[in-house]
Amino acid sequence: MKTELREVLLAEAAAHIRTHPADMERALEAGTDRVRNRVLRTWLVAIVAALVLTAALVAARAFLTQGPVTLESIGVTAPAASLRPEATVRLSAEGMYSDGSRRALVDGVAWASEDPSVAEVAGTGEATALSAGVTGVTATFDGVSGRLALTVTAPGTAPLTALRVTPDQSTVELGGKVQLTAEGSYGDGSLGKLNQTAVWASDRPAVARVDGDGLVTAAAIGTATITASEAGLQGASSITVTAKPPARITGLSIDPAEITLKQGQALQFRAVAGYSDGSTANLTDVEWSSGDPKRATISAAGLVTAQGLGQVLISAVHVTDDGTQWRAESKVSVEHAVRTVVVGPAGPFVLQPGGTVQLKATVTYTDGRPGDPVVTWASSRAIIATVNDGLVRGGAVQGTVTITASVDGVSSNGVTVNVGQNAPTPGPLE
Amino acid sequence: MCELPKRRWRSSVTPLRFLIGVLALGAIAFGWLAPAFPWGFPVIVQAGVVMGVGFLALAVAVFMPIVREVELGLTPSVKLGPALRDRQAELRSVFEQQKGDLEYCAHLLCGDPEEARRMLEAAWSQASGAWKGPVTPQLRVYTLCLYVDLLRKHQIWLRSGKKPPKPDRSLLAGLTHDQRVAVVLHDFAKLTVAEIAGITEHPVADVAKSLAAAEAKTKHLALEGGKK
Repeated sequence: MKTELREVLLAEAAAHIRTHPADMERALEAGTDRVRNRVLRTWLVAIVAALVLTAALVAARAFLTQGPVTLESIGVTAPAASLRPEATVRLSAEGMYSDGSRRALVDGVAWASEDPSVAEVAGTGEATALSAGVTGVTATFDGVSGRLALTVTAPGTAPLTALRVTPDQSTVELGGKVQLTAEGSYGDGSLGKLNQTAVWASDRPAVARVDGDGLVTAAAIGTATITASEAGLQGASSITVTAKPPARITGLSIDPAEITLKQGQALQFRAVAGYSDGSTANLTDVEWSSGDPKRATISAAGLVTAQGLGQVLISAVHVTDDGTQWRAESKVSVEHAVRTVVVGPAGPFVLQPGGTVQLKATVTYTDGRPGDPVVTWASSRAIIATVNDGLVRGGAVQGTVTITASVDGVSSNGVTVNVGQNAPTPGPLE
Repeated sequence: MCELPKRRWRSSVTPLRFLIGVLALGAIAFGWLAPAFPWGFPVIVQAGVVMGVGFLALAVAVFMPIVREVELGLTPSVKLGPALRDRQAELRSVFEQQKGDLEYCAHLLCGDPEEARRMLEAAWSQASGAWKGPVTPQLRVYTLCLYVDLLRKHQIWLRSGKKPPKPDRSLLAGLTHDQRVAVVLHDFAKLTVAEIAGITEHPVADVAKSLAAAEAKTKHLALEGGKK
């Protein structure tokens, strides 16, 4: 390119540069912002990827290595390892598992004392010191045991350093009782039970009384403070006496719950309510109903009358003051009634003392069909003749008796039997 | 299109970073494989902590410094803010040196001075945002490449008729786009034919032809200029 043209072009460009100068700084800022955002985005992705990979590997390891977590050892602890006779402490058992976790063991722990004459342990884990000595208490769970050495010290000269009453506050219903425990700490680190030696007092005996062993009896609604004092130290417990809550219905039933009645038979039903305090009572404000009045009807007072054959549900509904509805049902089966009972042969019979005659009862039901129910036989004078399952046997005394049979309250005709006397010829069986 | 110089991330893997990476991978492997741990927590929790520390060490002490170094080049600052300011100062220094040259080329390539200014600023912005690693003289060629690419797109947009082009009163207005790019980049930016071919993505022979044609036309322009 010719130098002249080049200079012309450069001059032309220079003029444009002067009139339209480029802002390099702004362009540089915008580019730097893009770099900053890109680097920060990359770093953020790296951190998130690290966390996601960690979580994925943890989940994978947990999935691949999952197996039964087993109990490896048990640690037994107590508020104090040194006790005085009669003192009680609550032992705690903590299980150490194969996955490294720890968990308090509560249910299913078998507690035992190696020397029960020194201290005994109840199934709840409560250890009671009995006499001076050293014993080990063990907690066993799933075949794994843990041990704690308990020392029972004889009452010595160590001074009482603290006294507390447990529980420090309790709520008891009117008329109820609660046992408090006075627990003392001694200078030698031992714990002792002071119920019998401490002086017990109530600031409001009208509300709660306390006897010499720390047994509190709730006498009136309110709050009282019970104190136990010994050797200038005092512990206290707050007792709140509340009114007994009214017993509430927990269930409703019908007596009888299931029964079979004869056609025409009537029976009084009862609605029985069960209460939260364990008591029961017959309810009168009950609405009775029959599932099928053609089979059985029921009066407002609960009198059921069997009407037609079949089964029917009798219902009782009781609504409490708070609107809760209780409902109970009873199943009633209605069956045919006995229409007639006929005993034959009709007699009369003459029997010598010791002689017998066999009678038979024929039972007919309301549907006309015969039946074979349990028949009750009776002799008008058993000293003259006895009857057992229809067999009449003459007695030692002469005379005349009437033999009858009855089923479900329906009596038969009478058959005359003369013992030791002449009698007319027996008639035909009806 | 415009290619950045290759950056090798392997040069950023220093012995210290390699050692940290190995230790982090070891922690991850230990957390994955170890059957038990010495601390009193569930094994899975401890394994998670150990693996998490390994992954975080890998990310924070190895990956993130390498990313910063690839993006910004060697910088004495560990923190991102100062490192970005260092890099911005470095780019500013180089752009300042190249500014006059680039501005001339921009206005010679584009007859509309306003568009030339706007596209030059855009090219600087893209170059400073995309450039990775230490700043080298190649930055000038890269910026010119971005400018030529923006100019090409701008002319395509003008040909679509969405905006009427401003009359080009430059003496180079009589050249075609390829001829104008070739002659400006060759005679003013002092680029070789091969470099121009790389920027325009045309064969070297085509660039040479465009250059020859442009030379012929500019001779004519020179004569007319001489008459004037």
